[in-house]
Amino acid sequence: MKWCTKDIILFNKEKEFVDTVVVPLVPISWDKNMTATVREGEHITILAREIEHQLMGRMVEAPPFTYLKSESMEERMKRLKLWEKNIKESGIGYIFYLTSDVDWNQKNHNMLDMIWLPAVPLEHMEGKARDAYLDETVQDILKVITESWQQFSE
Amino acid sequence: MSNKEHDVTRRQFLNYTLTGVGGFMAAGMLMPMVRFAVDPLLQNKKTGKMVSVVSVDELTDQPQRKTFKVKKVDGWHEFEEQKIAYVFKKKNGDIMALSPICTHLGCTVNWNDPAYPNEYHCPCHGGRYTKTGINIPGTPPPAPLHVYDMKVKDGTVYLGDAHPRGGA
Repeated sequence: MKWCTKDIILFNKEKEFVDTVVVPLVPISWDKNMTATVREGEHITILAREIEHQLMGRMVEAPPFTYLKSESMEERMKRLKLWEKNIKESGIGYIFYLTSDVDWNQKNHNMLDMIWLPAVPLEHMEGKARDAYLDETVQDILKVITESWQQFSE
Repeated sequence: MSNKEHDVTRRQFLNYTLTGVGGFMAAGMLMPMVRFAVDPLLQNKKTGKMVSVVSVDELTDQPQRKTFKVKKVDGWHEFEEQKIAYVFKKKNGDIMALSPICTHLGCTVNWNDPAYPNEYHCPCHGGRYTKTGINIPGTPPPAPLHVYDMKVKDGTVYLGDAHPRGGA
């Protein structure tokens, strides 16, 4: 379910079936690395949308968590933990963070379900190759998510 | 003013002019109304466009996952939407194309998951369907998987919109 009124009404109606939230992490910068920053955010936004599309009955795609590249890791984590606390309080059991930003990969962020994927320059990929790449990547992420569902239900 | 044959009387002149002007005004009012009334007939259908998906030779009795794209229009914005179909040949040789959208809450189901062989299984809430898409009683889905409009032309399968089936 998307972050729009129509879907959230459905979410509140079918709450017993929805226990997962996906949060795309989208970095912001205005310096010379801007293109790379935008690419990381775009890449993850596209994937998040596709994942929501395939598992819409059990998950909500949250609005992206945005942060300045210059923001310190501590500060980001502090804010992200606040998001997590809020989401968990609503009764959501699973939160997955999607990111293509290396910052989150390098440091150890225990307690968070971080799914990290290298940003691929999708703008240089044409029709079929792009679709195939997205389809495969999405299948991989779906596997991670559905497997953790199974782990806890058994 | 003696040439009586070519003269138009003042009364005639006013009659002609008023009828003419009145006619234009009436037409100006009626035309849009008529246009609105028949508008549904003039709308060209956006649906029903068939897209080539797979060649018939590739099909077996096992459902195969095929992706294809359809053009969608949302307001003024036109975009392509990726769709998935499970296509296979039924026992009687008919080709069937199922939409993998779970009829429960809209997740995408998978065919032949190792844990659920020869069934469609929904990863979200464990909905299950038989090979022809009939929902298995006791699982959450309320209806069978939708079926795509399908036609075969020159050995290629074309798919259109997916529709629910009558009954359940």
